Amino acid sequence: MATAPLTLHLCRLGRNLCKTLFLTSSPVPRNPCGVSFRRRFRRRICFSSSSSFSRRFSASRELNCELGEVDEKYDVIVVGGGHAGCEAALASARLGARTLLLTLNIDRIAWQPCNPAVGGPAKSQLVHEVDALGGEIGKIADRCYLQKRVLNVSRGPAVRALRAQTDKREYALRMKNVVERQVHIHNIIPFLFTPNLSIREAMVTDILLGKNDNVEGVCTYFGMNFYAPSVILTTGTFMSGKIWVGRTSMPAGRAGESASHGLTENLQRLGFETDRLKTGTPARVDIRTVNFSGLEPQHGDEEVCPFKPISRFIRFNFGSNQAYGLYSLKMYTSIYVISLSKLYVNSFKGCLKGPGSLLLGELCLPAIMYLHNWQVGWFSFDPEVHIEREQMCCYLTRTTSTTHQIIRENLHETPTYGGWVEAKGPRYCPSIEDKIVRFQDKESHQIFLEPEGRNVPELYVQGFSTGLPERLQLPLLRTLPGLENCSMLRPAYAVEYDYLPAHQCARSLMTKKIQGLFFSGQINGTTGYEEAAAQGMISGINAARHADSKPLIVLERESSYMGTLIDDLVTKDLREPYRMLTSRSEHRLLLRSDNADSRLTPLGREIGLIDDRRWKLYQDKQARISEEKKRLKSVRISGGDLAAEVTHLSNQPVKDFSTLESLLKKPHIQYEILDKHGFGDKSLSRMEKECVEIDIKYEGFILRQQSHLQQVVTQQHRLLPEDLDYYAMTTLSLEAREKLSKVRPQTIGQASRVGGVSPADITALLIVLEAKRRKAQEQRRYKIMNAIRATTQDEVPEVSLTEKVNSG
Amino acid sequence: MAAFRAVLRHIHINANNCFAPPSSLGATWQFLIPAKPSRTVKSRAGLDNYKLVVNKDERLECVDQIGSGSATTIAAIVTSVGGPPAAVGIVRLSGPAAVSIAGRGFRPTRKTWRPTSHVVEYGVVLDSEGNVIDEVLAVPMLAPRSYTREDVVELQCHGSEVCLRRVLRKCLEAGATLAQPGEFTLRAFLNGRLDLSQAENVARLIAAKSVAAADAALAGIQAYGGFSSLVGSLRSRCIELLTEIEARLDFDDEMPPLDLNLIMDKINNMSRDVESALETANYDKLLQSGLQIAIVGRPNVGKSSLLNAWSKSERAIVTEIAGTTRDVIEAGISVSGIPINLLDTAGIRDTDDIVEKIGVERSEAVARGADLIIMTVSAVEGWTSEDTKLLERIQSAKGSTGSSTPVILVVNKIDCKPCAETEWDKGCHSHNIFSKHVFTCAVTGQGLEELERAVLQIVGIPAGGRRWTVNQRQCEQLVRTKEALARLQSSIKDELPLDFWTIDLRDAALSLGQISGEDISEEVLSNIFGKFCIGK
Repeated sequence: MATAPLTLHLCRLGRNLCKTLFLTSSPVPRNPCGVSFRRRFRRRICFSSSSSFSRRFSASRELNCELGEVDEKYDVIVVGGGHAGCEAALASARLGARTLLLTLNIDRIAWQPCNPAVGGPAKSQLVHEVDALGGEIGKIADRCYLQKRVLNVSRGPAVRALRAQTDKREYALRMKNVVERQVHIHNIIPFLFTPNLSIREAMVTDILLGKNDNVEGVCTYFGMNFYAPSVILTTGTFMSGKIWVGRTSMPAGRAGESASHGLTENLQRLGFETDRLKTGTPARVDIRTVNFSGLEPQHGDEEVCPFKPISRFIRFNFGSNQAYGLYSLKMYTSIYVISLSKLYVNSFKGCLKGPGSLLLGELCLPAIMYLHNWQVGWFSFDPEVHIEREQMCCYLTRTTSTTHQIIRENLHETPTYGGWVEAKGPRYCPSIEDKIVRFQDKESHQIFLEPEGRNVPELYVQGFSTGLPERLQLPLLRTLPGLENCSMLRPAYAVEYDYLPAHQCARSLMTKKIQGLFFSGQINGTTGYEEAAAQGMISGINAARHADSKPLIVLERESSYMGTLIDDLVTKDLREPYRMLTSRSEHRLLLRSDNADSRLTPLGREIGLIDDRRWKLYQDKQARISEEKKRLKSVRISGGDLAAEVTHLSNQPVKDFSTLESLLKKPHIQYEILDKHGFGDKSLSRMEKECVEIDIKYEGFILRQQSHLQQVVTQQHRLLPEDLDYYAMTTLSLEAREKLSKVRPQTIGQASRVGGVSPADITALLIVLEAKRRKAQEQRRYKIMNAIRATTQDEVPEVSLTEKVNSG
Repeated sequence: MAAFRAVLRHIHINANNCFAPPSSLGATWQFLIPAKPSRTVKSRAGLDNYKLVVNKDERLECVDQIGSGSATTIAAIVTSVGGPPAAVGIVRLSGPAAVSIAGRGFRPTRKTWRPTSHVVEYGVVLDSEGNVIDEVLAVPMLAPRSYTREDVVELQCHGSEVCLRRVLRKCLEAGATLAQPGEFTLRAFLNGRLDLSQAENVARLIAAKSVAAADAALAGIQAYGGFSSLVGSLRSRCIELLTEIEARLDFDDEMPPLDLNLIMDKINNMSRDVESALETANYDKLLQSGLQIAIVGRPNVGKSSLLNAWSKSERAIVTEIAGTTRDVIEAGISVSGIPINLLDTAGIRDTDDIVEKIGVERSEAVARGADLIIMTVSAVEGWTSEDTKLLERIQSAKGSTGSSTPVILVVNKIDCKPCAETEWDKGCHSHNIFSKHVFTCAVTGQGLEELERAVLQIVGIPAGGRRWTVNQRQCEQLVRTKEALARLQSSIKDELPLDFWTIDLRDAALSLGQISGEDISEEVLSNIFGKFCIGK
């Protein structure tokens, strides 16, 4: 009986199913929440055909299938297949919502149109957080990296950041595979998968509305209607996109891809405010025409495992890669040279026989475990994707006086200085002409050359975006050392696009005007793949929950960079594309990469995005960390080699009977020192050791920040009633009344961050709220008193008693 | 967040307040806001249906949530200041830590203080070095039986402003925050102490007071003297350092390396400046020892009358005879709470009278030692050549000591020649050595208020209670900055990574903000983009 409706699926979606049934590669979540929900749902289907559950669309779909009709009804529709769209669609599908992903071009899913890199300060925290919630961006980046580096290694655990150059094509391909093969495992019948994420090429031009200002679906250019109670728009740079090279422009979302027209007008018709932003991307040159010999190489970090033979990670590949000459053999030796010069220089000098020598391969290097800084980091907390790869090398070149001269002579040809494009680009991504004009005394600017993939000849010229016409771009590129004979594959261009100022969204990313309509990514005025993925994650979760009539999730500002990002977007007045920076977070010490999982994975589990396997991994990890912290507290040492070395490294005396914990708190003492002297726990992974070390070393600071936070959160998170009439509050300043009416903050904290709202306004607001509350209470009490009088005596008094307590 | 702390610190949440989110259940990391049962307004129905996720790191051992974390403790002088000294003045503390903060300064005659609610106890308040500041009566009023329904401790001190301010400062150093205008009343209201009918009044009162405070703060920044310029410069130095450091943290590989020694030097300089300001600044000295003001002038221009009129006494003998005053006569007055010692001197002229000659010498000595000189001339006689000579004598005396004592020109006996004002106004441009000129009539008391204002302006203490508040607030800012910088220096000493330096620098910059709760992130960011060539 139970299988009946499911076999219908099989008939209808046989093609997809065959694929998914025999799918092995992508990890399939087995989430407890969504599954239990599905199970319930199925049972109800089976036993009563006229059940009145919330997911009416799914129900009608079942019935329609029976009739053989094709009716496009879903739970969630995601418009756009970029980094926001993919995360949103995956999250929603994994929560059990039947999801449709509409994109202009299926071949461009998860494309990286600008710099193919993931992470960096603040952005890497976003990636870790998305991963901790069960998102995909971190895993894909971990599997497609060309090079990885940990930035800010010695500047504190909160700003330590991982950055990966990724293989642009591989990245898109892997993400596309994951999206295409997203299935929902059926719990009752283990071998039955339900593909619940469909992909379709379409250009959405309008939003279909229901009677109560709620979304009912979307309408496409070719006249198709797709229905769903939740719609997520992730239009990126495509909405009325226009690209510029010099003075020439063309309607396009990206070079060579048509823009999406009509949606802006229809959104405006619905009362949405739209505006325009500008961003750009530099030229790409052919790697084979670049002479790297005189350039400074920028190597990645290497995974170095203690007690493992080097052959484990020396895997020279002289095959196809040599063609581009980018795999630096020097890289491997340089690691050793640096590490060895630090430590056991003499003992290992003899072993080094030059880059080509595979003799190295047989060596064991226990000393390597001190090389904290030279290890590959991972975005994902899931060890399944921690697969090392060969790294490629980036190079550093610089602008020359000729570069500057050409630009100065042709300033009138650039959009900003020629004056034909008004929109200002982001401050953190200035064009090369901006840099030269604004920092005239700087003789040279750094330019990074970064490969875009293992099997493509494209080289990204980082720091060299320009608005100059194409005829000047190649001569300009050729002024750079190493690029004297280069050929250009793609010209640099700028793109202008429509966005919707995000104050029109609540912090769940659902629009305030239209129920069920969500915005994510560049449409909200952000920039960057990581920012997009973070928003996609939240809107995907919330769209699925909305379709399921569950309460929406709001990440508070203090909980995560994701929360900070969204809070800034919906609260503050933004004048440029928003990029996440560590300085935007007030308590960043608490929002680190290493604790992203302990902050958010429990939430992911509760929502239903963390499967049993992942949950167990997580719990085991936390248990090991807390065990180890306990152990370090209890084990004491007196004298010995360890004490001597600690004294030597930290310049501080070690008292007798010191706990290992107290040793770890001393400057320059890392967990590896304990390991070296046999006091460490060898079963812990490097990441776990790092967690232990951070927790212990910075305990004082972390606790202080935590209690600072505690002081405000209770007050900050006081909810504001949604029906407040700010214009009627005469004690507020005029500006505050206007701004608050526009933003309609959810909490007092959010209200205080709205531009133009002063502390005095917040005080006034609080007084109004308190007065309101008491009035309401008076009324309630009055009603209850009346009720008591009206009814018999022995029924109500308890209620009135509690009311009195409340009034205190 | 720190900014927010400052904004909302005064809002104490009543546990049963319906605006307060329901307390989280056990050890869970989130709470559910119950959805309203009916969704009448469909368009916004989603808004009432949220699950908020707050910060909870499973790895972190649970911080005590109820403890002192819930609200700050505020302190202020609640009796009027700035007027003539009263017999008794009160410093009030309110908040969860009121008792422990008071306990840090207050020493009862018995060895330990075990506060009993509503029981008065006699004792002394000690400063950080253990010196007695004042004898006080401590009155603890424990929650909820107090004005604010929080723990309240009132320290009843002697009415002298010096005492009150030193006791208040002790409280601030012990961890209290200076109360915002109307904050006690605000807390009382928010905690349900005041009647609903008073809500309107409370709102109006607090709005008016905050506007006044904001005005005063702005004025304070512009006014010279006090701590204004120091606070302003310290803040910009903090922001500058933050800019340097944050730029490195967010744009790691695009920046030239940081000169750590330079940064440390700057930090050390800053904390030295704060320390010296708090230890030796004009302001504190003024509060404790008062000002010496010498009244000088030719004989018979009304110096002694001025002293009598100003001190409202008959301290000096006044006659028609020139040279009546032979010796230096002192009279104590208080201007806006600053104790001032007025010194009437013998009229300075060349004389053969031995006694008068000594008097003249003394006059000159007094003029040299004074913080401020009031040079008196007669409106009837106008500016004479002797006045010029006298001015030169004072000037030369000043030149020899190397100081630059400000001089106020007082044109006395203005009642005898009412039209003189305009003439003097014209003439006075030549005498630009005078910081101010004031027209007075010692007999009627006309112009004395103006004279007081001039004095206050010159010594850098802005007149009126509003400005007093500004100075007090700046003093608190400096205390907080000192604490933050001390922590910063210990971080540097412990060789903590760069990121940790920003935490305390941020705290310092925040506490130095013009308005509490200022957001500094955007300022730092625009500085970074303005100063450095960022962007790959």
